[in-house]
Amino acid sequence: MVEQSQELLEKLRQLKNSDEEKFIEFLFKLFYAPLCKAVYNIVFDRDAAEDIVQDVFVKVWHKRDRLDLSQSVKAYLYRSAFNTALNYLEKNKKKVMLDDVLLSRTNQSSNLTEESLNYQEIEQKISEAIAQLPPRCRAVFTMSRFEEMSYQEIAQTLGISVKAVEKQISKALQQLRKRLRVYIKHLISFLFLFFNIF
Amino acid sequence: MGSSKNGYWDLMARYLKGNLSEQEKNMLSQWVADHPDNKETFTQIRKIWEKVPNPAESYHPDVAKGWKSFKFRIDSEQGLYDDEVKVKEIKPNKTSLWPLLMRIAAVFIMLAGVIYFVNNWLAQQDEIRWVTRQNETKLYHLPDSSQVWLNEHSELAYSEDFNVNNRVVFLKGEGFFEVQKAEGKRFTVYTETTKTEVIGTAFNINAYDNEQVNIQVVHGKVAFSLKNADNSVFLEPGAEGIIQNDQTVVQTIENLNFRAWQNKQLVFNNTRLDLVAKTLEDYFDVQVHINNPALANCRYTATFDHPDINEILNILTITGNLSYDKQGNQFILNGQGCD
Repeated sequence: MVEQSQELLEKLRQLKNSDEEKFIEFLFKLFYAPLCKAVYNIVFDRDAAEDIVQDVFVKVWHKRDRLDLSQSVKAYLYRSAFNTALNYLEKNKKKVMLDDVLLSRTNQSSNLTEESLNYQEIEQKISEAIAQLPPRCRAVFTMSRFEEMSYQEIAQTLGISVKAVEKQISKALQQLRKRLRVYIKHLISFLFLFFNIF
Repeated sequence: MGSSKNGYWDLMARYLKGNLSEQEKNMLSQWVADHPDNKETFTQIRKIWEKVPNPAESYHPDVAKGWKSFKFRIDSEQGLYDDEVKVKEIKPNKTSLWPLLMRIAAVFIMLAGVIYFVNNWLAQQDEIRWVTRQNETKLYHLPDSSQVWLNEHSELAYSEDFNVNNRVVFLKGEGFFEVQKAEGKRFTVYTETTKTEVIGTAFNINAYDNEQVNIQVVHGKVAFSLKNADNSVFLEPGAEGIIQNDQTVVQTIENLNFRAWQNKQLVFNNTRLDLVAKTLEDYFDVQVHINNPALANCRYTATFDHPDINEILNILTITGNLSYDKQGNQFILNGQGCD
């Protein structure tokens, strides 16, 4: 995800020199949605995710004169977003709450007998398990899994060592397995079925 | 034991990203082979990794809205709105009658304008209608950011107050719906004969034939009934509802390719060749003839994305004992056949 095509770079350079506002608009429209999603996977709150990403773009706007386009802008945006997200969690010190969308799914049916487990409930369990990981661990796991970033890229983005990234992933896997043990059989059979059909 | 076991967890973490050296690979596979528990752990971890759904999957940030508030933020920082503030600070030093009269006149003009618009708005409440032609499938976005794919020869209509109190659409032909949740507002799809109610889900409705409407659910729950009936059936993912002679039948989805028109994917899972042929006929609008009846018994398993009929037939000829000839719009399959 840190890679940046030559074309994109050219386009950004051109825009930045000709019209700064078009430049920020282009960046915003390109990266706002993917950044929101990436941050959402850390803070599990849509409003907070959008606020955080807004702040990131405001920061970019403020330092637009000093922006180094030879470095990947995308990497810069992700780094800034992830760090802001981690700071947000630290400041708020609250446990990550699943937002309404996820919560409404749990309320629908609470009797998790073996037979009644359906796909959404399992998905819900997994989301809960991810939400319960410690923030840094969750960030590393979701970046690695959903942002398709290599451990090297994650390490660079978060300013930690590759070894530390691996440690966090292994911690995440151990915790996820522990929490999902009961559902894991369903996960395997149901998702297998699901992905085969659709 | 703790530290060595943790060592294997680190190896697994690296394995998932394909970062293992040859030596590490051997170490890991040795560990997996050592004990059934290890093997189970390894399988579970792989499954969790592969299948874990992205929590942000159903989250579609509103870029236009985000841009608007961002733009407002940087504009106000730059003082683009300072002028308005300054205007307010200027005090009139002389009062004359004309400005007052003009203000009164302005108020009347504005009132007239508002009345005109409200009237118009109440009168209009027009219907919005999307229509697809032959061989045309199209993706549309509803105001609540739900998405609708229309198959060819289909029509979707909704009134302008869609999403104000409820969400109602009217379908002719076939559509695939991905419905967003909206503060508990129900989403209702009417066809000539049926009514389908959901909250947030994805499903396909085929209503080309009003006497036989069917619906297939991909995820979420769906309430499906005849248009004027009170009793609906609830359909879960993987289920199919069919209206037949005014009866509602529920079954598991029979045709794996019910949404091939929408996701451009053909799936065959141990599927008999006669059914494969039928699927190809429907999808590509061609004729496929099986020369030898025993050939129909052969079964195929394959998935094709953005399929091309020649490519599919070529692959079938490689995997099965069969060959094909093309004569105009017709494909003729030859071969020994299966028991």
